[in-house]
Order: sequence, then C-alpha cells, then structure tokens
Amino acid sequence: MGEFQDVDKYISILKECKPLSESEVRDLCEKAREILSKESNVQPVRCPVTVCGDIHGQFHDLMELFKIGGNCPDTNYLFMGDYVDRGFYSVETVTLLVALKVRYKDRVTILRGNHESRQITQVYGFYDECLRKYGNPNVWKLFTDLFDYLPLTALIENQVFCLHGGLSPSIDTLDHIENLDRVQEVPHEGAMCDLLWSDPDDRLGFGYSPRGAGYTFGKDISEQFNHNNGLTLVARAHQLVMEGYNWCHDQNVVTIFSAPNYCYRCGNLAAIMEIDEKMKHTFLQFDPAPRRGEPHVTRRTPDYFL
Amino acid sequence: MSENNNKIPSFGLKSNVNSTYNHLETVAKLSIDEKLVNEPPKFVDIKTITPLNVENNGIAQKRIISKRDLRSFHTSSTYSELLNFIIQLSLDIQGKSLKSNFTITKNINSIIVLLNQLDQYITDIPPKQIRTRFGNESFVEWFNKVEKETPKLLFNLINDNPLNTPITNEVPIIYNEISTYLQNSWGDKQRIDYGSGHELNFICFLLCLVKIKFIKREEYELLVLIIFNKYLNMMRRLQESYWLEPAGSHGVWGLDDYHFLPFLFGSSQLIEHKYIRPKSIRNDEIVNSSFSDEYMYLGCIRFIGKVKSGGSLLEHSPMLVDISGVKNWSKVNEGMIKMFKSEVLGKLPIMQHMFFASIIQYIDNPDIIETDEEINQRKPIVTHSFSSCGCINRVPSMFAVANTDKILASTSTTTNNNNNNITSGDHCNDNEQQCSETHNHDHNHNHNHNHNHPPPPPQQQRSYFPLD
Repeated sequence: MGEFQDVDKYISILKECKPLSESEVRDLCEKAREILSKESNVQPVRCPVTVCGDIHGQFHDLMELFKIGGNCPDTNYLFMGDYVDRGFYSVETVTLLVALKVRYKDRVTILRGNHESRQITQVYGFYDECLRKYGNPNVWKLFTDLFDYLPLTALIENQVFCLHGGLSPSIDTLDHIENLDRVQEVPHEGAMCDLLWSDPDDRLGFGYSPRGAGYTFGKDISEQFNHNNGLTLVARAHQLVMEGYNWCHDQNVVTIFSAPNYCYRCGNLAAIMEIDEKMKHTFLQFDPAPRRGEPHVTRRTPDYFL
Repeated sequence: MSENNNKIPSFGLKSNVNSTYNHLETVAKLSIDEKLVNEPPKFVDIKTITPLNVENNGIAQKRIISKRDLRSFHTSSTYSELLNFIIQLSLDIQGKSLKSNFTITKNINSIIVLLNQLDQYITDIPPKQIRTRFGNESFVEWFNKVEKETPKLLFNLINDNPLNTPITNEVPIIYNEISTYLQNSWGDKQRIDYGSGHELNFICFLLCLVKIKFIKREEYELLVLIIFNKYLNMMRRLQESYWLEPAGSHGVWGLDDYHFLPFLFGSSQLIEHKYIRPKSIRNDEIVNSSFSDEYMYLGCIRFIGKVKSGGSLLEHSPMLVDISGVKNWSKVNEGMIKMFKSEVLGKLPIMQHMFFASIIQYIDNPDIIETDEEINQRKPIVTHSFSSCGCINRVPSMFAVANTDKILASTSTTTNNNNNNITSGDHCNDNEQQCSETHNHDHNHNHNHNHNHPPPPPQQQRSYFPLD
C-alpha cells in the first residue's frame, strides 16, 4: 500500500476541490509520465467501462459525474480529453484525473483533447488560471509537458473506437495511428491534429472544417472506417450537444459531452456512456451539480488595471 | 509624468482624488503617438478611390497570417488610426448616459433605419425547433439574407437614398468592401458563433463610415451611445434567438463570453459618476436598477446575471470581480484600453481574421523580419507544396505582388500552412477541379500508404491558429 500513499493523499485533497502544491504536482506529473509513456496511441481498454466527453474545468460537475457513474475504482473510466480551459477549476480537475490515472492505471484511461495543448491553453484560460492560482506558470508548464504523453485514441474490446475529435484523411486503419509519433505539441495539420480536431458532418466525404484545424467527415467515411477496422462504433467528444450525447452517421458515430450547462450558460445536459460486460451501451444524462459554496480565491487586480 | 508640457487639448476633466489628473493625457499615452491621439483618420473619397481585391469583387481580405504580420501591422498607420478611433470614441462619451438628450443627425438616423431592417429579419426568421448542436441553423438563413442585402442597403445609405430604393445597376464594388465589415460583425455563419473579433469588425465598419466622411467627429458620441448600443442589443438578440456559441471565449478567465468594447466604452461613461463606483457591480440593487439602462457597463453585468446560472459572479466572472476592486472608473477605462490592445488587437487568433482592402489598408513593413522563434512556433507540417500543386501560378496579382517574397521563400525551403492561407482560399475556386486533382496527386506522394477514399478538399483560408 505504501506505493500509493502520496497519491492517495493527493486524491483526498483534490476531492475537496483544493489544488496541490507545485512540488506535489511535479511529483504527480513525473509518476504519470512514466505510466502514460508506456501506453499505446490506440490504447486497448476492457469492458465494462464508462466513456466520458469534455469536462473543461467544471470540477463540481465532474464530482456529479462520479456520483452518477460510480466512484473510481468501482467503475472503470475512459475520458476523451478536454479537461482544462474555460471552467473555474481546470487545475483541480486535471490534477484529480491525472492522480486517478496514476492510482488506478488499469481502471482509468485519459486521452488527449485539442485543449491539452500549450497553444490552446494559453488562449482559453488554463494558463491564466495557473498564473492566478500559483502566481507563476510552472504548473501550467508541468501539465502541458505531460499532455504530450497522453494517448490519442483508445479501443474498447476491439469494437468501439474512442477519440476526442474524429477521423482523418491521412488515416485508413488503426495501424496508421499506432505509427504516429505522438509525443509532441499538437501540430496544426496532419493525422495527429485531425484526430483531435475533426467533426462529423451531414455532407459526404472529407470537408473543410470551419474550426481552421482538422476536417469534417461524412457518413461514407465513418462507415468505411468502421468496416475496414472491424469496428461497431466511433465514440468522440469535442462538440457541445444539447442532450449530452448525439448519434449521427446511422449510429456509426456518437458524440458525448460531459460538461453540463457549459460555461454557466448553455443549458445543456451532460452525458456519459456506460458499456457493460456484454458490450451493451447505456447513456446516463445529468444536470449541473447543485449549488455549492463560493470559490476560495483572493481577489487580485489584473495587471492592466494597476 | 504629468509635469511635462501638455500638448494635447485638455477637456478639463479632473479626478476628485488628484486635481492634476487628466484622463485624456493618460489615455493618450496608450496611443502610438500621443500628440496625434485626437487626429482624425485619413479620409478617402468613395467616388474616386481605386478598390482593391477586384478579383474578389472588392470583398476585403484577411492579411495577418503570422506573428510577424501582426507585428508589422502594429507599426502601420492603419493600426494607429484604428486604435485612435477607439480611444476617441471612448473619450467622446466620457460621463455621458445612454439616456442623454441627443440630437440625432440625419446620417445617424439612416444607420438606425438600416440596423432596424436587419433586426426585422431576426423577427422574420424564427429559430428552428429541431436542434442537436448548440447553435441554431436558422442563423445561417438570417446571415445569408443579410449578406445578400447589405451591399445594396449600404449603397442607399451612403448615397442618401431611401433604404429600399431598388438598384438597377450593379453596386460599385467599393460597397462590397464596406459590406465585408458589417457582414462579419454578426458572427460566423459556419460555426454559428460570435466573439470579440466580430465586434471589432463593427468598429471597422464605423471607421469606414468616418473615413469616407459619412460620419463626423461631432457624431462620435452618437456612434457609441446610439449605434454601438443598438448593435450590442441586436447581438444579444441574435445570441438569444439563434444560440450563438461564444467564439474563443476564455470561459470564466475572460471578461465576457462575447463582448469587450461595452466594458471599455461603458467604463468611460461612468467616469466621475456621482454614485456608481467600480465596486457597485457587486451591488444587486444597483445592477438591477434603471442605471443599467443608462450605462453599458452595468447593462453588461445585468445581462451576465440574467444568462449565467449555477454559480456566483465571483465563480463565473472572477475577472469582473477583480476589476471591481479598482479605485475609480478612469483607472478602469485606462486598464480596458490597455487590455483591449493586448488581448484583442495584440492576439493573433483574433487578428488573423481582420479584413483589409482599400479603405482600411494592410501596409506591410518590410523591416519587420520573422524571428527564429516565430518560425519555430509555426512548426510547418508539409501536406503539399505550391510548386507541385501549381497553385502559385494562380495567385491574384495583388497578393502576388505583396507576398512574392514570402511565397517564394516558402516554396524554396519548406511549405508552410500559413501561405496556404493566402492562396488556397482565394484562387483555388477559379479552377477547383484542377486544384483538387493536384492535391490528390500530391497527397499520395506525401504519405507512405495508399488511399482508397476520396481526397479531402483543399483547405480554404486555413487559419494559422485554429479556433477551438
């Protein structure tokens, strides 16, 4: 048990929505890097498992997710990226998920989302949050360096293919993904970028993505990809969907989004997808966590206003 | 600092804390040349100006592709003019309520009529009932309608015709140029979203109206308190009707999911206010009072309170709560201008979408050289090269002249996706088939495995920085 003494302590602190110290984060990231670096670009996952979409720093809603889906390690989890940015508690959220990964490495899988990137987090809040909570960017640096090691995709029982964004014109088979060198910042183009950025679309074929990265892909592409690789389903996240999950492409693709009332305003439900021992799936939808206490941060005048 | 001779005409605005404080002097220091902060922009004659981008019917184009381009833009007179315009708008509404007794001028009234018409289209095009994603597809319909009507409406506006006068001949393409700004003020049609970059387009539209002498300096206060405020209300209506996603929102770590300028202008309105202090935003009684109808800043706080649920102001808007600790509104306004310069005008993810043509010109500064760090940050990923695609032969002449060096440099060393930006979106359409064939051919070369599905289309206007 001694092996996990520190991590157990971290988890109990984090579950109270309190951030770890910088040195604790450093220790945790080192442990996590060792585990993640051994994982595959297409990380194999066993059922039963519960598949989750974007979280975006909505810590209290993540706690609600565990209430609905079951606690770790009683329930196995697969998170499909976008743990940070926009929400108030990206630091606490990503630290907890990484701690759970370190503590229960065979029961928790965490993939990379397009927000697990240096460039994106500098724009959409995680960087600012780290500065605000730690007074320096060291913790941001530790995490974004760790993000390079996150697996890009996962494969549940050789049937359900899970990833953050979607398919890529440069990738026909899962072997192509295995061959990518993933330990790097998310590039602006190419297969690795597409996996984290693409979206399904009503139009056939691959199309121009209005996001400026990745592609849109049509039903023909999804059908062919599933057929070629012997898959039953592509499960992905990346897009806000009002019911928390949304089928498309004749049930070849499902979108899962796990941040309820996104940005405190979108009014959407969140969802997770349970896959049982017989590979049967069930969606569980949930509302935002009930009202909770005020966040404990001291007010700091932004530099522009000094 | 304030002992220097003050060459700027003072408005005689004084703070009650320090009698020598002069807000104009303070904000002038935030412009490129403080002596010129109150200078008018360079005027153009819409009748004689030579429109650019003729190949694209005059539609203004994106020109800032890299960090280098952005630094180059920051040295240009266009940037200085844009920044001064925003500062002047802010100065001219200092201490003024939205409910002041205005004398509406004829041209301001014409703009109101035009906006009312676009507003009416929102009523005419109700949101679709069936939806899966957040944004409502009816926005696309509204947007297309506006896109179709705007050049004609602007032609009638600027030529002093009744708004819906039928136009028999083709509208001169200079009106397409001005339309680009108004059209892009409402958000992104494909993404069904909206952010501070779109808001900046509306300011560029107003700047066009000033530069063609349709609006005079005396009308700036009306431009903000009537026209910009009307725009703000229309945007809220669009956001609420069609559920526009916040584009590039920093979430809780930004000022607001959608807007910036109402905070900048709004803080100026409140300078020297008798009762309302920056900390008043934490007072529900004030926020819910009629003061919020008079002052944009408070109106924004009230609106945020209305649309955000499941957390306190401190949790969903910590930045605004932080700013509420600033001692007075002059300081808030100064900070807002600094922040706007840095967080909007200084950010490539936003500025890569700014449009340029003949009225608002992109003037490249050849002395600005891309640093090694900037080149490294670009990390080009080779997907196809212009030489093999043949794209370079079809670069519109105007771009070819301006970007020859960059394009040649990129083809001779390594292809970068940024130049792709300049070319593919603009010219591939002319010869789509040929272009996609060559893309296909090239794609097979660049990957070591065979493709048996149709090739992707060439990326149009691929952004340097993706938009989340």
